[in-house]
Amino acid sequence: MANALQFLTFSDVWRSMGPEIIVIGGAFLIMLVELFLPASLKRVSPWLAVLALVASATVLVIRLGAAVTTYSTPAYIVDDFGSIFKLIILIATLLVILLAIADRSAESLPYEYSYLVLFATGGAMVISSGVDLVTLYVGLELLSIASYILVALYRKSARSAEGGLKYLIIGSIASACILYGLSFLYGVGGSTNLGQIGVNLQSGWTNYSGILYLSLGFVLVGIGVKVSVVPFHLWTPDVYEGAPTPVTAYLAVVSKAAVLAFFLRVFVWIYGQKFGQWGDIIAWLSVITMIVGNIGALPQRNVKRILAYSSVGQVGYLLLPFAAVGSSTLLNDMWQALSSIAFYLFAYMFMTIGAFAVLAKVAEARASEDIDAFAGLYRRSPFLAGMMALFLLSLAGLPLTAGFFGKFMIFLVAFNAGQYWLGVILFATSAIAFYYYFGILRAMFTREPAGDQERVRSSPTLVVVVALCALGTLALGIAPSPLMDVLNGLHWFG
Amino acid sequence: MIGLTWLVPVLPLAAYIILLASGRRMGEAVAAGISVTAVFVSFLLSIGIVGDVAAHGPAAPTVYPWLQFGSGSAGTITVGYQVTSLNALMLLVVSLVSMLVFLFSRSYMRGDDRFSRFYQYLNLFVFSMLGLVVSPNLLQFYIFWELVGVCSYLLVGFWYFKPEAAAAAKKAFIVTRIGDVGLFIGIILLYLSRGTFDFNTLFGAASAPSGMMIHAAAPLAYAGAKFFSLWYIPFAGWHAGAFVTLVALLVFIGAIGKSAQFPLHVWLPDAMEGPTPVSALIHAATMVAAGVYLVARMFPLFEASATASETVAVIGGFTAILAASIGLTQRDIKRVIAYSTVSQLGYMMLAMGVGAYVSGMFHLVTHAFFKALLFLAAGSVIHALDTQDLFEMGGLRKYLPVTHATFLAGALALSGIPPFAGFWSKDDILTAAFTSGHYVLYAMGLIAAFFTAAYIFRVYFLTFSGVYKGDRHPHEGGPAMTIPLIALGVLATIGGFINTPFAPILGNFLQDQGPIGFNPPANWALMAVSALVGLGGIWLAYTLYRTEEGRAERFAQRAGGLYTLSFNKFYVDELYSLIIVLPVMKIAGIFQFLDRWIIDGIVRLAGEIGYTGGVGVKYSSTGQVQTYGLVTVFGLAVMVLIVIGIGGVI
Repeated sequence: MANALQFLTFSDVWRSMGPEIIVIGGAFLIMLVELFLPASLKRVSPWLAVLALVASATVLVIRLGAAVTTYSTPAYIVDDFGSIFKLIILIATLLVILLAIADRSAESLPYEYSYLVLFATGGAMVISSGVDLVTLYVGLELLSIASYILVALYRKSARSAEGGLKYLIIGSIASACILYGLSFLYGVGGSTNLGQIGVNLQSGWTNYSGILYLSLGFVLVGIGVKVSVVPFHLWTPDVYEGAPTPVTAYLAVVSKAAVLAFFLRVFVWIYGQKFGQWGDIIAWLSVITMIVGNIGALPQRNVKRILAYSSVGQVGYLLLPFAAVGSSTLLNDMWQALSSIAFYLFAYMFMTIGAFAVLAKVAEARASEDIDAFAGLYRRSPFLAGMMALFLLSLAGLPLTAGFFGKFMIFLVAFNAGQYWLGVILFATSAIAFYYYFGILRAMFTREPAGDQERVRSSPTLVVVVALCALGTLALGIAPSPLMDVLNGLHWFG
Repeated sequence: MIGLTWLVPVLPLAAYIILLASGRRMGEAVAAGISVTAVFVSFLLSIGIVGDVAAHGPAAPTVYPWLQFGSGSAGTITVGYQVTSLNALMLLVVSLVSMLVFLFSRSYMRGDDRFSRFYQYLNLFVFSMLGLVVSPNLLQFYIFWELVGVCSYLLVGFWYFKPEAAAAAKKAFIVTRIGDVGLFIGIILLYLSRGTFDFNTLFGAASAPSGMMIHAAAPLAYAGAKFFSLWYIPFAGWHAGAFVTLVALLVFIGAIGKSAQFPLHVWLPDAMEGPTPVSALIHAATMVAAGVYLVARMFPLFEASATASETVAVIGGFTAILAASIGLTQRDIKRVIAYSTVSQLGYMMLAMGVGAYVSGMFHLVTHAFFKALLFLAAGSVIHALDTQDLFEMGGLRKYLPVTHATFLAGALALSGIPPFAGFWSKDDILTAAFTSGHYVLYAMGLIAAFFTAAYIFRVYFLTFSGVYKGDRHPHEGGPAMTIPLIALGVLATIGGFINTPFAPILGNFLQDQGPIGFNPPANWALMAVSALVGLGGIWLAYTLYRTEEGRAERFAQRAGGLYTLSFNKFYVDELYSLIIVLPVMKIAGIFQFLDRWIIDGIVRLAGEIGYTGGVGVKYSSTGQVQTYGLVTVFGLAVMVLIVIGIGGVI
């Protein structure tokens, strides 16, 4: 190790971690600058974060498609898999920060969020590219700890503090499970490097299968908690409800995408060879997650909780392609599954952040997140109502929206793999989802606004966020090919 | 210009979006102005495109991949546009008639509460129709095909507060949907056997010997379509020819619905409940012609199957005579013209069926001119009198001179009197039927022509001659109404000269890539017969309605049962009511019972379970973080047991 480090120059590090360096460096810079800024100028700090994200994304995009870069005993890898997840993470973070800037009710939000979000994002990016158990775990903790603080950022709100504490406790259980599972892996594999473990396990699997499965179980449960797979999802509605809305959007999109990257990387690289034996667990988890997540949303009246349950259901959809390719020995099927997951993540990002953005504005105007706050929104703000309708229809998977093609791709994977029942459940639960989305649509378009009829005025930044999300939702819904072409052309793991 | 083809449908779409976004705040003049301008530019572009095609020939289709779900061209669905001489001609006709109708509507719809909404729908319709015309593949074609159906529904039911209009809109939509199902199955079968939706590739091998381009019994011709192969019904043992016939007939069912051919013609007369400009645009010149256009577009398919072409010809001929005979007795001015449309569409199908591709398209063009004219003139009359009953009109020649003159031109064209436009095209079709040896169909067409002249001049005499029977002061509707009438009047008069036997300009244009179908040779004797039959029909109308009071009634009494049959439209609607709607309703009643008490019960039970489950999920979320931790650990224990079980340790 020491030997390897001697040969590392800064340009090597920059080549493999450029985008991460910009994000983390930006976070430190904002942290410092924020200390010295007078109160009236503090609002520039989120814009600095925007700048850092844009710079990082630019560097990332320039790199996209370049040859795989690692450095000697690789702890870090720049492959298309990592890059595409990082791209999703960066775009989503950017949208979330813009939303935080636009959200007036977030004015009470201390400006510390701008660098906390960057730290979390840095962690998320490290997870996407890490190929060493320690690196991965450090990234995961960086993301988690920053997220705990973000949830509790409303110091004066009891719900926010409560949510933060819950997230911390449950998140710690998850981290413990993951760490415990990884320790078995290290014990059997004799290395912390994923590739090395994979090689060692090829011969060692039969001797240690009990311990390996134990490690798989622990890691799976830990990840299940973090991405809220049923039955480890119970914290989700509480935490989502308590957190400031932009943070909720962050948890729902960035956090999930990063942990999903962790899951895919570790499970494909290490446990992949015995997929046929444990693949059904993922399928079953995916199925109960789809069912419980969508059914759980039915009796809710708080829109944020509805979206929280809906995001649980969406995780079920995201796990489905991975579960479906199961027994396939064709590498192509795995690539197709990864493309469909990435495509769905793009779609999910646009529609979820868009929906949370509209929710933030509506909740602010009515000081309530209840579904009644949406009553007659069409009269009060046709723009927000129309956009919300688009996001909800996309979440429900109607044609000409991103959600439709996302589900369609997932369905194709399930179909190609011959796992028709998974496809059927996908459709059945989407139909259930339509019911509760429709409740919001009905409130917006057919009910009379309660109380004051005043128009909801959206700030320009909010309009930009919502319009960007709508554009993404529509563009992927009408012309999915460009993104599909990019995804199909990727060399996922180099 | 061909490079700008995409702009032709996009302009009305842009106008639609503008009106959608801010139509409610716009004045009538602005809304109409935007719409007319958009279509006018489309029209100018169409002229350019026709010129381009005439000068340089058709262009290769411009397509963009839209959806990729498998390997190779079979797994790629494209969108784009294509210009051949046929498309270019349709673009020109559709944009021209649309433009004139848009202008006419400015006056006709003046003061309507939803004026801008009307233009909004019209724009959407024109976009859909133009999009249909330029579609390079069947799937895109089908999407626009359905879209024009939706627009027709919206426009027929525009005055939705009238129960008849709402019912007519529903009927139009449902009846045409029956045809659409056939078309859709046909498209799917074509795709399964050919692996493409593109018109070009679809018929790429059409010139193969004996038209056996479709290998019905062969497995899928493309690789990597695992997912489609599951649904492939190979029709093992089918003769390729039988398969072609099946597909062609299925496609034709779509055309029957859209072009209101027997037995699905019943929706068109009812659709007259819509505003008259809608009838002129959609139910005379454009949408109903889409069925004929479909047959023309798929002409190689029909050529490959003699059975299918014969069916097209027979259905067309029968529809022509049936609808014409119904038109003789109707009292509503618009319904007469509607039955006339059904009948004329029958002629076009007859032409396509006997292989006279150019004649059919020629009649489509001239018919678009004179039928849009007749509808608009009828609209002008209705606008002036506020009634559609022929027997409350009369003597309008004095009050509405422009309407009178143009209606007369349209009526002469429809009757097939030389040198008006309809004469050349209708005679072409009759000649084609005769020369190709379809003597019965020729006779039917000839009798239908006689009826045609009789019913349209019955309308003419009842409306314009004699004395006015009402108590209003009819007057013309202003230049926005008269200009379209005059323009169409000129076209109905001289439009036939685009394809006379001396100078077949249209024929040469359409067949720039070599001959298509069968071109009937000029036959002077048949021409003379056609003209005489037309004059005979006019004479009949004149003697019945102009010579002696009450002569028509006596004639009707003497005709007895025949008259009643015609007046009641041969009871087709009642028949459908009896043999289809009633049994369906009966069955539906049984199903409703099952549905309400058994299926619904199950569904409601499932809903209850779901809801209760949801409440359960809700209460499992107690808010107690200890519980969450406990559940997580419990889940962990279960998971560990499962994985250890898989690992085979216990």
